[in-house]
Amino acid sequence: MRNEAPVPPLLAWFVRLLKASVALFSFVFGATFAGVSGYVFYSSMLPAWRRYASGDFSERESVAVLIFFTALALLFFVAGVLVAASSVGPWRTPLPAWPRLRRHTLPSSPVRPRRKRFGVRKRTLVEKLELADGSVRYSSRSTYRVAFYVVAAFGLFWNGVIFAGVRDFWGGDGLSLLMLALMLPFALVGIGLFGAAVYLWMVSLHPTIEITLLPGRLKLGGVSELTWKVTGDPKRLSSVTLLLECLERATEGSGDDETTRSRTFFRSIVAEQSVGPANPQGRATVRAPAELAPSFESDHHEIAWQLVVKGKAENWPDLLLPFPLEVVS
Amino acid sequence: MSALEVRLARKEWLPGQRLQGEVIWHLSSGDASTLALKLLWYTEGVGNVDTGIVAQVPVSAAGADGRQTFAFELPQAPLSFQGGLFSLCWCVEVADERTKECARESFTISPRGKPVDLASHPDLATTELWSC
Repeated sequence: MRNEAPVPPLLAWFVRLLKASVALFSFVFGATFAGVSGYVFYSSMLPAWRRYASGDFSERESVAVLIFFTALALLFFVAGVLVAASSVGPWRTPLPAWPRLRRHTLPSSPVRPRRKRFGVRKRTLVEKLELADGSVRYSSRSTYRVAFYVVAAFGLFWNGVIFAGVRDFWGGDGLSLLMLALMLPFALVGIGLFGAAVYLWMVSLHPTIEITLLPGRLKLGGVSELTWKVTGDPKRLSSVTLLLECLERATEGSGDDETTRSRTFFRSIVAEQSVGPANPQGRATVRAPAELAPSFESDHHEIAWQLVVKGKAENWPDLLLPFPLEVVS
Repeated sequence: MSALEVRLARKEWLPGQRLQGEVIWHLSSGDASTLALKLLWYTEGVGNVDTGIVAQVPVSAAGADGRQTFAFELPQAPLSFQGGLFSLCWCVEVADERTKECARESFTISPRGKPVDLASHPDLATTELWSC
């Protein structure tokens, strides 16, 4: 079993930067809250209390209302100070070991039959068709296009809200600038969504990859004949590499706390070929090593085999598509 | 406190073989009618524990003390393996449904006897995929 390891340096810096950004945002938010509350108390509540103390209190003004708003201003001030203060310490705390692996085994009580787990089933990004001769045909059709539509629609909504906010807060005074500064992280997310949509659109223009495997179920220690074909405009890709991979996945927790770890422990190149209008297809033999495990899937664990198609493109994002396979013993 | 024990003819089995063993019990009260034998697999390691009960039979003999042989037809899958994140293990469990006490004896199902070793294969980073 793998032991716990320290956080990789690059990830550690990224996490620290993220924590520092959140702390800064929290501090600015808390300080603004405290500042505005303090200002309201100083400019409105305090003069009213002075008038009350000197007996210059008009009959229109109610002491109860004054007490209520004073308490409210002080409450907001204290809340703002607490939020600002709480942001100072946590980002300096050391990072936990990564990956934080908790190992589980059977409890000491008798094992009971498990209820069926009703969860969202995994959706593969490729179409699978079982043919009469025992072969299986996979197609990458519409893989990235659907993702592009989803991200683009969400990005439009997100950026629309940000645009409306910027338009409302736009102004020359300090409060406007502060509000715009607070919106900056959300605007950065919007820019990221826009970038992701553009990337997915570019990748969605890649031609479709079709793979046929005979027999469709790969046997450990056995071989299957693989044919692949680029349909659409093969000029966009310069070469195609097919890799066979095996990985294990383990899911821990449930609901929002659910985390999945995966580990790829086998990868081999099945085929590597340049692509063009004259040679948009190829053949290869896939061999699954006999010493590895067949496909396995339970509620929280999986041994997954997949063919990964990597298409290189000139001046365009590369294509990377996993095609799930079933490997039997 | 009862004493339950499962003994297997051997620890390494091939897929499809007939697993044979013996269950021994010394119950503090009651008799063996509340005992059940289960053939099951479970996951161990990272992730929530998954289990699968493949077969379950009651202990047919009577009495507070006794022993009984049993046999299970082993399935072809899943095979025992030891991965870097999790392992798949097999065991026979005898459980007293009344007192919730149980005893287990683990074994392996593998074409080579030993569990398939996936843990010794190094973790291949995703970044290497781009350099292929």
